[in-house]
Amino acid sequence: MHTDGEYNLSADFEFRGTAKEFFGIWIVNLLLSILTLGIYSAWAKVRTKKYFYQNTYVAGRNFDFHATGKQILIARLIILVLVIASALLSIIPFLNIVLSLTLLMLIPYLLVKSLRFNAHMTSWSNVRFAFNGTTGSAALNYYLYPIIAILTLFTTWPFVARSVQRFHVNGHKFGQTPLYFDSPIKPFYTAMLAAFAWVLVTVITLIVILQIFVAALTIIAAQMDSVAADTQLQFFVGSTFQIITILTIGIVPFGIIPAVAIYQAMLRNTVYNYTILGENHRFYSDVSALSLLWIDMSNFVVVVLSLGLMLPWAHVRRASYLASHTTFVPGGPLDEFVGEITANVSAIGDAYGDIEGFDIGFAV
Amino acid sequence: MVHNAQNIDASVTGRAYPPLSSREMAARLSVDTNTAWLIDDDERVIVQCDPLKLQLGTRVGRAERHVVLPDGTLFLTNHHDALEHLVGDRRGSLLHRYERLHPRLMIVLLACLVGTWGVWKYGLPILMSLAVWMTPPTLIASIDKTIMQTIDAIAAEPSRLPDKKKEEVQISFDLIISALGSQAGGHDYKLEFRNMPGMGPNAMALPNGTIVITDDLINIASPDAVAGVIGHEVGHVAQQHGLRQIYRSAGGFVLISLLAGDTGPILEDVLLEGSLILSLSYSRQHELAADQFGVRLAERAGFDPKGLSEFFDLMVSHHGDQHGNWFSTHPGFKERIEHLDALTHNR
Repeated sequence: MHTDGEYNLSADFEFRGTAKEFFGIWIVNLLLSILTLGIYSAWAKVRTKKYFYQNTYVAGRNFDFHATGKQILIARLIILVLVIASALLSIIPFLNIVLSLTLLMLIPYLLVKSLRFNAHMTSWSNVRFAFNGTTGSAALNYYLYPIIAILTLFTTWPFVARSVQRFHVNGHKFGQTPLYFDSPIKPFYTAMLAAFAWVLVTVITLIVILQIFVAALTIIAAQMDSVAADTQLQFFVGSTFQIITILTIGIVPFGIIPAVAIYQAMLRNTVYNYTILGENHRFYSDVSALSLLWIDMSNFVVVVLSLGLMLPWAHVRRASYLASHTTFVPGGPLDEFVGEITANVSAIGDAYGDIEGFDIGFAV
Repeated sequence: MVHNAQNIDASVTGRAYPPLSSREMAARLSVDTNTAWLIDDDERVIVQCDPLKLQLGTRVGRAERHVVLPDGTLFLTNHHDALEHLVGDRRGSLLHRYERLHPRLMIVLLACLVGTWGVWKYGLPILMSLAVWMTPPTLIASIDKTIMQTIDAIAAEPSRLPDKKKEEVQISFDLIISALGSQAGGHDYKLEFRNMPGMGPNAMALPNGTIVITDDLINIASPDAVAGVIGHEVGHVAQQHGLRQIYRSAGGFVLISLLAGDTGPILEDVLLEGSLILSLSYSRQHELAADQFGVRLAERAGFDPKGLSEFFDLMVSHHGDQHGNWFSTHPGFKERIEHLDALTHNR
C-alpha cells in the first residue's frame, strides 16, 4: 500500500468533523444527560471525545478514544462522594485547613493519574499512548518551581513554563516510542514578554482614551454650569473613581484574555516545533495568536448570542483551525510503531479534573 | 492459518491493523453463520473467528466503524450499513440514528429546555432533600458546636445583658419552640446570647438549632420584634436552609460542569460565575421563606405578627435600606417589609 519514501512527505493534521453532524451528537448527549440528572454525562463525554478523536486524521490515519462511560461514571461517583464529604466537613473550622492541605498534596497525584488515563485511552493508527511522569515531578513543576519563580518576581517564569512542557511531553510515549521535547529558553521569554506587552499597551490605551473622555466631559460640564466649582471637583473625583472601575472591567476582555491567547499560541508553536517522536519524526505548528484570539472571542460571542446552541459549531471551528495549522513530518515509515499491552488505568484523576478542573498550563 | 479465501463472498472492505502494531493494510471482513474471516489484499485469511466474538465499536458520526477481533486485530470500515447487515447488529448505531440532522432534533431541543427547567425546579430540590436526609445528625451537631467555638474565639464576647432581660427572651424563645410542634423536626433548639460589637443588631441560626442573638438586637428591639426575629431564625433551622445551601451550591456547580462539559476557554468561567449568582438568588428566597415561617410561628406563640416588620422598619431608620440586588445574599429591608405586609393583609 505504501511506496518507499512516501514518509518523507509531511502530513497535515486534518479534522473531518462538521458542525452539523456534531450538533446532533451534542444535543442528544445533552438531553440524555439532563434526563438522567447528569449520570449519562459520563457516556456523553466518551461520545464527544470519540467524535473529535476519530475525526482527527494524520496521514490518512485517525486517532481514537477508548474509555467507556461506565469506567468514567464509577470514578466520578467516588470523586463526588469525596467532594461532598469534604464540603460538609470543611464547615468545621481547623478540619477545613487539614482537608485543604490533604487536597493540595493529592492534586499532583490526581493530575498524574488523569494524564495516565487519558494517554492510555488514546490511540493513533492502532497504537496507544502512555504516560510515565511521576507524582514527584508533577509536584516540583506545579508547586516548587512556581514558588521559586514568584520569589524572583516572575522573571524566571519561562523556565518554569519550559519545565512544565518537558514534564508533559517527555512523560508521554507513543506505544514504545518516546516523545522528547527540549528547546532554548528564548521562545518562552518571547511569549511571556509578548503577553506582558499586550497587557501594558491595553492599560495605557484604556487610560489615554478615558482621560480624553473625562477631559471632554469636564470642559462641557464647566461651560454648562460655571456656578459651582465644588460640583466640578465632585465630578472630577467621581470620574477618577469611574476610570479605575472601567479600567478594572476593561482589562479582562481587552487585556488578560488576549494576552493569554497570545501566550498559548506562541507556546503551542514552540512545543510542537521542538518535539521529536522516536529518532526523527517531527511536528510543525504555525498557529497565529491573532487568529486564535479571534476564534476564541467570536466563538464566545456567537455562543452567548445563540444561547449555547452554537457551541458545537464553536468546538468544530476551533478544532479545525488547530488541526489545519499542525503538521506531522515523518522521519520514517508509519507502519513500524509498536504498541504496548495496556495496563489497567483508573479514571479517578480524570474524574477529578472533570468535576473540579485542573489548570495544567499545557499547550494542547 | 493462511489459506485461500477466494470463495468467501459476503464481505465489507476496509483497513486493518495487526495487534499492537501501526502496520496498516487493506482488508475485508467476511461473515457467515459460524465463522468470520479477515482477509487481506492477497486473498489470504489473516484472522478467523466465531462471529459472536467480534467486538463492534459504537457508531459516531461518519467516522469509520471499529471492529476488534478476539486476538486484538483492528478492522476499520466506512461501509456502515454493509457492516451492520453482515454482522446483524444494529444496536451500536441506535444513538447515531437519533443524532442525524432531522426536524426531529427540534423536539430534542425543546425537551432539553423543558428538562433543564425541570431539573432546576424539581430535580435539584429532590437531590438536595435526599442529601440532607442522608447527612448524619452527629455531623450536624458537631457543626454547631465547632462554629460556636470559632465565633467565640474570633468575633464574640460574653453577653452583657442583665440576667432578667435574658430570662425574658429565653421565655419568649421557649414559647416559640413549643409552638413549633411537629415542625421541630429533631433539631436541638438552643438560644445563645453574645455581645458582638462588629455585627450590630443581628441574629443567626446554625443547622442543628443553635440560635445566636446579639446584645444590640435585644437592646433596641421590642419583645414582639425579638420574637419575630427568633421565629425567622427558627424557620431557617426547621426548613434546613443551611444544609440545603451548602448542597445547592455544590450540586449546581457539579451539575453545570457535568452537563456543559468542555465549553471552551472563556465560557467556562462565565458559566461558573453564573451558577454562583443563581445560588445567591436561592439564598434570598430562603430569607423570604424564613420571614414567612417566622411571622406565622410568632403569631401562634402569642406574639404580634407585625413584630418582624417592625424590626425591619427600625433597621431602615437606623441604617437605611440596603438594596437587595442579584449579588446579595439577603433581600432589601423594604422588599421584606412589603412581603410581610402582603402576608398579614391576606388574612
